[in-house]
Amino acid sequence: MHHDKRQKPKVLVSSSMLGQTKGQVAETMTWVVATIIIIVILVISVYAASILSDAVKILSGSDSIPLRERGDFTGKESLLAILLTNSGEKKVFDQLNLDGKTDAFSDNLFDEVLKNSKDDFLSIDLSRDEFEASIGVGSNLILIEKVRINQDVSLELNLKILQYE
Amino acid sequence: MNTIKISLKNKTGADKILSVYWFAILFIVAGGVFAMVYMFYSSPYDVRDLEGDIMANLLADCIVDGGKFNSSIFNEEDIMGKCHLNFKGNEEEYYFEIGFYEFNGFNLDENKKILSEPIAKLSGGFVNLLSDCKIQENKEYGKISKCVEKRFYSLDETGNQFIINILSIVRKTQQNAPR
Repeated sequence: MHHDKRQKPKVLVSSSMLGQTKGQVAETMTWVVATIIIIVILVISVYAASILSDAVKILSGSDSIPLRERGDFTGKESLLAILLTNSGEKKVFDQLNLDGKTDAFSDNLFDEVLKNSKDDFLSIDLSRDEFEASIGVGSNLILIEKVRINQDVSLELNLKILQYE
Repeated sequence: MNTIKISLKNKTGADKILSVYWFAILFIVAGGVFAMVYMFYSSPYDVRDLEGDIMANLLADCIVDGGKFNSSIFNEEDIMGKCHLNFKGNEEEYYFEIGFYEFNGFNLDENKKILSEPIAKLSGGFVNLLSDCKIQENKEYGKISKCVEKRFYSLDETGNQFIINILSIVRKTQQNAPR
């Protein structure tokens, strides 16, 4: 009977070595999970960037420039036309300049102009002095255009924020 | 008996694998950042609303001065020349329409769409774009023309009251619309 003199090497693994192997497996699993998390976060970020690139880049007059700074050119023209409208023998401007308050004709005209405008959230207001204007155009109104009638009285086109939002 | 002792303290191989891993992560993260920046900045800014807004303001400024307009404009044949509008090179990208409506009897439906007939109408540009606005009456689509409408109160030289409606349309989808 033939005996192979070359014997297979015997691997000695101590119990402490087995413990270290388990530690390595645990460490590897940690890195695998960390890699998956990194990739998932990256994929989410890339997806968000693609969505944002479509959504953020649509510029319109209402979002690129605040209305307060931009003003409303056609609104200003409407205010001027209101002031020049004949109310009987007087113009609306003369009435406001004289009394500092609106009459039935001008109130009706304001309502009609607003009703026929494109936006639901506009209002035409009369302020009698700077102090009142600063209070009136407060938390729920943004002044868009203003036409000064005299030292005390102004006609204002305002944005009603509550309705707008 | 041959005996091989395995030394687990020798981590040279593991360190090499770990450094390869770190490089892989570095490239993945860098690639991700590049993809995000590229995707964000490769899509064009859509400024057609602003363009339409500017055109409508320009037309309003052209026909009305200080709240009044001259009714001779109803018969104006070259409104584009009068308002210094030049669509050369972009003839099929713009259209505008100015409607003059009598203030008394001016009617809107519940969606603020005009029901009254204009007493005068001025227009210029590529009229086919008008159909894009009709398509978008209920829902807006990004890849067709943008329609901007402005409406305001005005008087003619004799004090007659009017509502002026300006519709300006900008197509320019290739330059503005997201892919």
